[in-house]
Amino acid sequence: MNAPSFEFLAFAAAIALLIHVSNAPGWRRAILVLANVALVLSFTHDPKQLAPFAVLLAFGFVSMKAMESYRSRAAFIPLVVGLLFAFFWLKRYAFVPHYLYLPFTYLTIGMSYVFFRILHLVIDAYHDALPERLSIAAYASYTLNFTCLISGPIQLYQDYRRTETEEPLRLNVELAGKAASRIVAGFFKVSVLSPVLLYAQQQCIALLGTQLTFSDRVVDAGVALALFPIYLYFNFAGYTDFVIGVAGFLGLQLPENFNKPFLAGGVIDFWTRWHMTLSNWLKTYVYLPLLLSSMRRFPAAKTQAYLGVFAYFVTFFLVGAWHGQSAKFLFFGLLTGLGISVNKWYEFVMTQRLGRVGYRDLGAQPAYAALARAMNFTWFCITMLWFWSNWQQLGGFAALLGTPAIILAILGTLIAAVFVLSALKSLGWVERLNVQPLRAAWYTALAVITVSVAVALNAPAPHVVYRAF
Amino acid sequence: MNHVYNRLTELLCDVFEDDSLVARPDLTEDQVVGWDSLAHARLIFAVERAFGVEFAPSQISSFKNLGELAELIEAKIAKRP
Repeated sequence: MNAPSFEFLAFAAAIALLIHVSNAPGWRRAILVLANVALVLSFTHDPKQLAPFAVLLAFGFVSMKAMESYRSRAAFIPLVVGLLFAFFWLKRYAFVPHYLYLPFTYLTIGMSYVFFRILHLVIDAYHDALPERLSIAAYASYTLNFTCLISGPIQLYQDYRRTETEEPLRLNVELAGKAASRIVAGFFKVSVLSPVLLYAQQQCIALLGTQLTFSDRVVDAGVALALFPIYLYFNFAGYTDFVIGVAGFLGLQLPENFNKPFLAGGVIDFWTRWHMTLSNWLKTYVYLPLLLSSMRRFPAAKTQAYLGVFAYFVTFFLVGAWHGQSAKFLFFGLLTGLGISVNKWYEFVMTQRLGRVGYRDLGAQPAYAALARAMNFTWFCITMLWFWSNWQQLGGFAALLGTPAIILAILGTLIAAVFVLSALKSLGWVERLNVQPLRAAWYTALAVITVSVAVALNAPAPHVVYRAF
Repeated sequence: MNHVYNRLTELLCDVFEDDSLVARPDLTEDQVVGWDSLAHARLIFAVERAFGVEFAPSQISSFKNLGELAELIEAKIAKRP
């Protein structure tokens, strides 16, 4: 079952009706577990294809229970290493020897997101930071949460438990309206907006091979460069809108994953706004522990900024590398880590020169902020080249374009981003308009367009890109 | 609890190099200039050394204001053998 899809929506509606039969926490949990199992079985009924995922879940449960009971460092580290290996092995990362791969196809949908939840439970159990000892039902309800199994968002157990059983959101007209709006907006973004953007980007790429003039090639390459991140944003943010809306009808609150990322004033700011739950997870379980352990080893205050840059690099190299199993994603990770480390280093140098308040005031200057936004966007577009193409294709593009056209395409993207993103930033007041009839009309129009497109195309909604990760 | 807040005031002034800072329960990251993730780690490092406690990763990034951090420190101190 895909999300977003009308099939998923009908399934979630049935679960929403069932879950509101009783307010008893046990009933809610039982229905959620059954819904999770039903969603997993919708992908395959073959026990052989389900077995690797089931073994990973069982390994996670046993590890968490072991840490709840013993909290032994001697066992903790091998268990975490074992879980990491199991994940890389089952997801067939390129650095795992191929002869170790399982010689049959099996279910991997959502495995990354489930893995993050399992690892968090094991680490928190070791540190005695879980709010309770988890039963197998609580574990299955949380790790396989059907509303966000396919592509997240990644929620910590402490936050999940609050609306799962402690204080479910009260379903009233206001919440239902907000949830329905998110579902409609999400469906529209994934089914209508993002395919149009992807089509436009692919047309630009196809045109590169034809006889274009130099200026046409520059414009074409610039548009292809800029369109992919915008497509990816609508594809993934649309999915997130959809699942947050669906979860709302069940009384569950999922975390937000996006906060106007292209209006970020730098690479560090960007990663606090794009796939926020992944960044927060890695900040909590990689960046801060790595930085603190480095500080314990090198406690001199002078070294702390260097350690911060290093920890940022490692963390965001992992963010990039996580996006795919092949070697090109290691390069994407390197660029992501490099961008964020340079940004951190720049912040450090500027704070030294201008002071904290002076640097903050500089960031508030409109021209400086516009340039910073555009530089971040252009840098993200460049890193994304290793996301949507490969070395061979990139070599082909470079040969077709030539160095001057490549440089001008990047500069053109930067200049266009200065003006377009500044215009978008200035539209903030539109968002603050809260005229109920206008909102209702807007979402009704989106729903009509989405359904019309779905009926006209008679095809399922496109897959969410992040489903593959 | 006053002892915890007094010590936290000293640590805040030291980490953020701003003598006007005063630790109070409702103080949040947004209210202090330069409170980014590196400064957050420096503050936690200073707190761990000053109070002789250690935090779980999820606790380090979960407190929403200084009041929650102070409660966490108190709880850790109380649990000490």
